[in-house]
Amino acid sequence: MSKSKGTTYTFIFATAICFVCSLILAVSATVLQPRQKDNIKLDIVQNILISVGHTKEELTKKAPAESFEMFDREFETILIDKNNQSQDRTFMETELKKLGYEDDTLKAMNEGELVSVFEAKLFLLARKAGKSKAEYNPGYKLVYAFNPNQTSPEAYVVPISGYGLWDIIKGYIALGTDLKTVKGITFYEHKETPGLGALITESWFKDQFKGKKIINNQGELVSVTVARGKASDTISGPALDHYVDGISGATLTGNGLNQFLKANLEVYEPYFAELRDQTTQGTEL
Amino acid sequence: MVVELISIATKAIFIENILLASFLGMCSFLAVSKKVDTAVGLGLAVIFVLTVTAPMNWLINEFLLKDGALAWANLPKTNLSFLQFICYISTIAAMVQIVEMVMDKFTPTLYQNLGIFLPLIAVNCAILGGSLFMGTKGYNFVESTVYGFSSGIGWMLAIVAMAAIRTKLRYSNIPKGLRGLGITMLITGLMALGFMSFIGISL
Amino acid sequence: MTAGTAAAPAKKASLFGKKEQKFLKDPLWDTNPITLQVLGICSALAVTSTMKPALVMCLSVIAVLVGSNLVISLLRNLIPAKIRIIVMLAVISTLVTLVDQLLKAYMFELSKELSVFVGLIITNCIVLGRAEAFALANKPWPSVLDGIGNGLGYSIILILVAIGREFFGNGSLMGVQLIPESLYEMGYVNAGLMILPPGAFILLGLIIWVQKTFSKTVEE
Repeated sequence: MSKSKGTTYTFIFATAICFVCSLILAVSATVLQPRQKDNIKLDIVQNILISVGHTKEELTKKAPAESFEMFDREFETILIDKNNQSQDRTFMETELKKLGYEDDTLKAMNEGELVSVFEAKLFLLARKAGKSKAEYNPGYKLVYAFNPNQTSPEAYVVPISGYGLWDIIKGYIALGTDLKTVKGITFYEHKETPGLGALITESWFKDQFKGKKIINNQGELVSVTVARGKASDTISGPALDHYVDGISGATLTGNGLNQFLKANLEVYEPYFAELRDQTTQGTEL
Repeated sequence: MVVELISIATKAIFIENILLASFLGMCSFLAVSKKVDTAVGLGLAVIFVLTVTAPMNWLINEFLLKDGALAWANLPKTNLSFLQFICYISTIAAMVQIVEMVMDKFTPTLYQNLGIFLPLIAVNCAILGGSLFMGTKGYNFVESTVYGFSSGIGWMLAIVAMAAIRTKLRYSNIPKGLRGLGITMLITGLMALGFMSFIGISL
Repeated sequence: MTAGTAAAPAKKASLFGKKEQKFLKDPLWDTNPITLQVLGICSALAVTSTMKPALVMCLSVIAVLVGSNLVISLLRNLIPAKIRIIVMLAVISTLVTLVDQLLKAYMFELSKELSVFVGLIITNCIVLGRAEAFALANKPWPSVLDGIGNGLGYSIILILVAIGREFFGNGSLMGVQLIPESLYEMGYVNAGLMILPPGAFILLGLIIWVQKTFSKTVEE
């Protein structure tokens, strides 16, 4: 092998290797980053589109720019804070500028991206403002209003996420204008068991949710529950509106789903209740 | 808080056993599981390295690498997460070097018995896997340490059990083609099956 | 000094001479990295529940193996002996990070499925094993061939396991449903065990059994 080298040489060699490796990686990361970010953004946008009825086949045939354009056209992003007041982006933009973000970069982000960047930097921003994270956090939530004909919204899509069996499941649920009936549900990220829990992404499972109601006749939020086995075996009558058939062998994934779906909907319920009151009073949304 | 930590520990040891469910750490597992005492020695070394590298790598990620980590140096937008692999493996290699030196000094017999497999801990998928998984699961500092420690225990449990089984197997009549690696794989499969019965325990 | 320069024969080494072919062919069966050298098992089991991620993993491993063998071989006279393991790890980590970045940019869906297992190629014993055992002592071209050979040997086993798991566990291959609906209705059920971890171990054990029975080496 190589003849014995001195310590200085070892040191120089080690430094050189570190430098070269870091350089190669830094260059590749910088070059590939825009594409990677686009992939993540596209994934989210496609999933929101799928939750209201577009199909994956339809979307994969399009170029990314088309999907983004379709999303901008058909959806209106509503930002609400922890008091259910609808907000605009100015607060987030001003705060992030304090950290050095530039105006153009911020303006180029859509609401979803802006919120995730904002939340990632929450700790730093709170510190800068001299407040605790809890005090400072406006508690932003996103609601996507599906309005393809530019008249009034036909559906509302909200993100849902929580623990299934193995890891976090992420998805979107679309509710109709009454904010009680489910128009669609989709799951775009999960680590459930292939062939069992992973079947939540199958159309037969998701389609069951269409038409189910999250509010019962007494006006309470009951969400939609995945039954064990066939729902009609154990439930009958109007209660069936709140149940779907389970996947055999995937009871635990179903249990996780039931838990986090209800929890997520409870967070949005105050805002939905207000919207429902407005519709019944005939106020323009 | 404590309940959450116990939950993480139970998951890491039984339900998501880093070897039997996530397949990490197989190479040294297969090679060192012939005798129980070497298996125990290696297991303890793995536990130690995992318990130390998980929080160390967490600190590196939190304050140097992830998006916004360098805010304390006035560089809040810098995202060095592409250096994750290379940094993690370096801390692991350094840690293993230290363990080697300590073992050589204080437990020389074990050091001899483990031979090449001690430095091979550095490339034990389980160690790097532990650091990477703690990142994807989003654990904080304490949770990462508990996770590292428990994953190590889970790994050691698997390797010691396998060593015990293989010791007994020496007197069995195994078909020629299955001897060695083949039968070990089948046994591991059955062990994995057994551990699957723990799925669904949530505290 | 490296062995290659000392014993220089009269004719120069050809590109695909007998020796070179051996580097390519041996790891495919006789010295298969997974079943006989007992290297690289971790990822072999984790990503083989369906064929697509298995194939991507195979290509990534071959790319990293060839790249690392090439670089290490080129640098073999420069690397100081004391830090050689960490230098090899640094080179391998850089290559793996590159592969990971490329996957996230160009094959996003698959990169999500493979998640941390791409990073674990760094600890894939085959890569470090071949770098240490071969590339450090041999010239670049044989090292490249050795990398391809071992990479292909690894891929063969991975694909066999993936085929077994996806076909018996899901009735499909590459996502295409192969077992017709009619058989399901007659009572055929997918062997779900195949998709779960135990199935992978058992399948690999059986493949090793077959291989060892037909190959020359037998272990006690």
